[in-house]
Amino acid sequence: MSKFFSLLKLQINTRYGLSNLLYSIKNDKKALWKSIGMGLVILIAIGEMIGLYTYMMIQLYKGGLSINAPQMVLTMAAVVSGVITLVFGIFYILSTIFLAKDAEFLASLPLSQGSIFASKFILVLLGEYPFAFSLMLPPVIIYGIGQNMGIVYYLLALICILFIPLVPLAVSSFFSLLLMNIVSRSRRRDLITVVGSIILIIGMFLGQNYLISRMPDNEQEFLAELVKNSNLVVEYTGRAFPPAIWITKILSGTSNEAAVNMAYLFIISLGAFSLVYLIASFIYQRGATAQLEAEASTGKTRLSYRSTSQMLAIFRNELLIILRTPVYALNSLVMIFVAPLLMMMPMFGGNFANDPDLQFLFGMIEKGASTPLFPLIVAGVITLFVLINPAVSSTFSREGKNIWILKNIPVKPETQVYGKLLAGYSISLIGAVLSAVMAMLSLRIPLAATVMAIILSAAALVPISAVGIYIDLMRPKLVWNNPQEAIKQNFNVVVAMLLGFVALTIFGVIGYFVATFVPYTFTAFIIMLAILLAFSYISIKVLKSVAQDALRRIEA
Amino acid sequence: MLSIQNVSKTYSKGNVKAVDNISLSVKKGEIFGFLGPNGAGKTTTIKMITGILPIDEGKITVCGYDIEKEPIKAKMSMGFVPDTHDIYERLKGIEYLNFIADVYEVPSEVRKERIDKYLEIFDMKKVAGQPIKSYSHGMKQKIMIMGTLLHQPPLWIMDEPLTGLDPKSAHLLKEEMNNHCANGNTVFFSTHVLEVAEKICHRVGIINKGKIIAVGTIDELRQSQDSSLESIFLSLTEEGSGVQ
Repeated sequence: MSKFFSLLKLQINTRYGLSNLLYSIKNDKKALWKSIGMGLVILIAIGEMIGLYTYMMIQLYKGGLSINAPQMVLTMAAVVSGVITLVFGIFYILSTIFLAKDAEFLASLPLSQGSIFASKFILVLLGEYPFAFSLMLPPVIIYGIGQNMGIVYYLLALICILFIPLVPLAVSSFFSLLLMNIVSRSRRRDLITVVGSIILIIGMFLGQNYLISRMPDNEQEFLAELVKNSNLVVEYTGRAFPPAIWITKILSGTSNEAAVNMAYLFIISLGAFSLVYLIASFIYQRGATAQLEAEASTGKTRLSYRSTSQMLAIFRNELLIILRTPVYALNSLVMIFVAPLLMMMPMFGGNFANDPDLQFLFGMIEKGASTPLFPLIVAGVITLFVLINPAVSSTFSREGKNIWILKNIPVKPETQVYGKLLAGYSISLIGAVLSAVMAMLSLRIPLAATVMAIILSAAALVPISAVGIYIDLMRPKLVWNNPQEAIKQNFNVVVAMLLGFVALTIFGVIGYFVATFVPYTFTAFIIMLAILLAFSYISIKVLKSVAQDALRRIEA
Repeated sequence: MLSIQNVSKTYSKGNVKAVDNISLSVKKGEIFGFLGPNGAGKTTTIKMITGILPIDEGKITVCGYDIEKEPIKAKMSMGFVPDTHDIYERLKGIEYLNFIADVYEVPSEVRKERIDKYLEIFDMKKVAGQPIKSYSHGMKQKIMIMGTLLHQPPLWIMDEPLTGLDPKSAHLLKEEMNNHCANGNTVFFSTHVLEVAEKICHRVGIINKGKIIAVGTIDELRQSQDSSLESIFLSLTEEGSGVQ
C-alpha cells in the first residue's frame, strides 16, 4: 500500500475509532450495545430534524412548481449545503488539519507536507458527507419523484453530492493556510489563532450575506423577469454558491447543459483542491507545527499570588483553559459572535434592510411588543441561539487524562460541578445578552422587553446548562488523542443540545399558557421567571445529589 | 498515618485482579518505599489511596480519615504526584500553583512565601510565568511536586517521582523528602530505583502480582535473605514468596 493510503487509513481509523469498535464488538458486548443505543437515539433525533427539513423542501418544490421552476429546490439545498460547509467547515479544517495533536508525530515521518495535508483534507471531506447527504437527498428524491426521473438522474445526483463540499472546503483550507502561516510567525500563537479564526468565520459569514443580498441595478425589471424565466430563478437563488447552479443544471437541464455543467463542476472543484494542495505543499508544515512551538517569553512576568474560593478557582481554571485552547475557544465562543451577528443582519442596510419579509417582521414586532408573550418569545429566540454552546456539555470530557486532578483534589464534587457549570453558563449568558442587545438595536425591540428577555434567558439557561453538565458527568469521553475529539466528536454535546432543545420547547409551551392566561406583561414575566427559577433550583439540587457518586465512578 | 486494610481492586469487569487483599501500615515520620515490577499493582494501590480509583473491597485511611467515607478530609491530609505528566498545560506555572493553593485552601498569608520558597528550591522562578506547555518533562514534574507541598501535607505520596528528573533535581527531591519527614510528616513513594529506596527509605514494601510479598526495613529484609535489596527484590518477585 502506498504511503499516502497507509496514512489515510491510519487517520480514518483513529478518527472513527474503528479498531476500538472492532475490539468492542469482540470483547465488550455491553459497551457495544450502549453505543448502538446511543447512536439510535441520535439517529431518531436527527431523523426528526430531517423530517421537518423534508417537509420544508416539499413546500419549496410546490412553490417552485407554481412559478415553473421546480428545480429551485435543488439549487436551494445545494446552496444551504455549500454555505454551511464553507462557514462551519472552517472549524473542521482548523481543528483537524492544523490544531491536531498528531502534527508532531506526522512531521517526524518521511511524508511530504502535501500528502499529510491531503490525507487530512480527505478526512474532513468524509466528515462533511453525512451533512451533505442529509441536506441533498430529500430534495433530490422530491424532485426525482415529482419529475419522474430515471436512474441516470440519481447516479448524477450521487456524483454531485460527492462534489458539493469540495469547493467550500478548498476555500476554507486556503484561508486557514494563510491564517496559520501568519500564526506561525507571531508570538502570541494561541491568541492569534482564536481571534484570527473568529474574524475569518465572521468574514465568510458576511461575505456570504453580501452575495445573497446583492441585487441587480434595475430591481423592478429583474423581479419581473425572474417570474418568467426559470433559469434566472436558479441563477438568482444560487448566486451565493455557483456550484449550486451547475448542480441544478446537471440534474434538471438538457443532456448538453448537463455535460457542460458537469465539466464546470469537475474542473472548478478539482482545480480548487489542486490549487490548495499546491499551496499546502509549500506552507502547510509551518502552520501545522506552529502550535507545537512554545510561545516566546515576553520578558519578566510579575507573579500573582491572589487567592480565591475553591469554586471560583475551578471556575477560573475552566475559563482559562477554554480561552487558551484554540479548539475549545473556537467552538465555545463562536456562537457568542455568530448569534449577535445574525441579530445584526437587518442593520447592514441596503437590500437586507428593505427586504419585504424583514419589513413584515418589523411590523409584527411593533404590533406585538406590548403583549405578555413578546418578552417570552425574545427570550426563547436568544436562548435557542446559545443552545449550541458545547462548553458545558463537554466539561468533564475535556479533562481527558487530567481527570485525576479533579478526583484527587480535596474539593466536594458538587463544588467542582458548580464551578464548571458557572464557566459554561457564563459563556452562554454572554452570548444571550449580546444577542438580545443586538436584537434590540436592529429589530427595534423595546428596552423593557429586552431586559425581561435577558432575565428570563438567564434563568432558563441554568436548567439547560445543568442538563448539559449532567450528561457529561454521567458518561464523560475521557479517552481522546486530540482535544478536538473531546468537543467535536463527543455524543454528549449532541445529546445535550437535543435535550436543551426539548427543555426550551417545554418552557415555550409553559410560557405560551402563562402569557395566554395572564393579560399583564409584567405579571406574566414574574410568573414565568418564578417557574424558571423553580426549574433552576431543582436542576441544581439534582446535580448536587448525583455529583459525588458520578465523580467517584469515573475511573482515571 | 496511612492504613490499608484488606484492599482489593479488579479491572476489566472482574477478570483482572490488580490488587489482591493487601494490608499495609505506614507510620508517622517515616519514608516508605513501595517497590514492585511493572504491572505489579503499585499505581493502582496509589490511585486507591489518593481517591482516584474506587476501592472494590477493604478500607484505606489517611490520618484516620476513611478515603471512601471522608474523602475531602483524607485528601486535605495528603499531596500526590502521579507518574504521568498529565497537567493543565494551558495554564502558566504560577496559575497552576495558585489553583492548587486555592483548592487546598492555603492561606493568603503563607501562600506567597511558600510558592517563592519552592520556586527557588527547584529553580523554577524564571519560568513560573510561562505556560506549562512550554516546560520540559522534568519541569512539569517539578511544578507538580511543588504543588503538592504548598499545603504541607502530613502524607506526601509520589508515584515514580524520580523518573525524568535530572541529577540535581533528583537530589533536591530526595532532600525535600528528608525535610518533610524531619518535620513529622510521612512520605510514601513508589520507585524502580532500588538504590534510592535503599538509601532513603526507613521501610519498604514489595508488591508483586497484586499481593504484598514483603514489608520491613532494609535490614530486616536483608536478614531474611542476606543480600542486597536488588537481589532480595529479584528473588522475591521471581519466586512470588513472601516475607512479612
